[in-house]
Amino acid sequence: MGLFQSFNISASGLTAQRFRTDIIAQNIANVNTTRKEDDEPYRRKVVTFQEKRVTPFSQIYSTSKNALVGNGVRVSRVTEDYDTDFVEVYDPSHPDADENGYVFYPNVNTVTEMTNLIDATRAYEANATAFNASKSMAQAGLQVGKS
Amino acid sequence: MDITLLNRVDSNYLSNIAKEQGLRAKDPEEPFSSVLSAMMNSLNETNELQINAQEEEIRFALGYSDNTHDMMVAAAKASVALQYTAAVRDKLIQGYQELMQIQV
Repeated sequence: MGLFQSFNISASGLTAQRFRTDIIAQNIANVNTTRKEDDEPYRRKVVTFQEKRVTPFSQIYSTSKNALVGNGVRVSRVTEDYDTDFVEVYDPSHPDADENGYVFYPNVNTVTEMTNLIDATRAYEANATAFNASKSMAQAGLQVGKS
Repeated sequence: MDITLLNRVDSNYLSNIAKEQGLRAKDPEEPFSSVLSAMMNSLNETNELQINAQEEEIRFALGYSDNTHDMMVAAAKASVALQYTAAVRDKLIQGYQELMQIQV
């Protein structure tokens, strides 16, 4: 039903932000992971979003309005952060220290992750509010003409 | 006023739109059947949405769902669709009762 287009869009936003919090939680949890399977420290993960378009096939059948509005948002990919350097700490007694006594910690900055976490939470709430608004509108529309 | 005029759409623009969208009954003698079939379609869609909501509830109860909003979205859709169908049904019954109250 075309009635639920805005519902679906808000739901896709909710799911996308939910996924983003998962990745942020993974970054925070691995803030001290000095070695993965490939002997490297954990690398910070970054989520990128993409607009979810109406597929060309369904566009033929959908009305022009739906083709304009689109289908919401989707996660396009999760990339690893190669731009930020690992944090170097002098700690010769650490099992993962190199020959000079330095340990490389992940390039995760807890403050940045916390900021992103708040951002994701607020974005999730915004989508929930948009969902509730469209639900109220649908219900208000049914009240038209009733006294 | 002639009551048959109510059924006639004189504007070319409107009748073209109606023809494009397939809104008007194919057989002008049976406008009621088209209304009834539209009603049945919306009933079926509502039923499907209710089933979806139920499936989401089961998924949530079994621990398969990975977020809380999927269930609530499905439930909200089902609830709005049910309210919509109930509103249409009320209007249909209201129309029927108006007709039955006509004094002959």
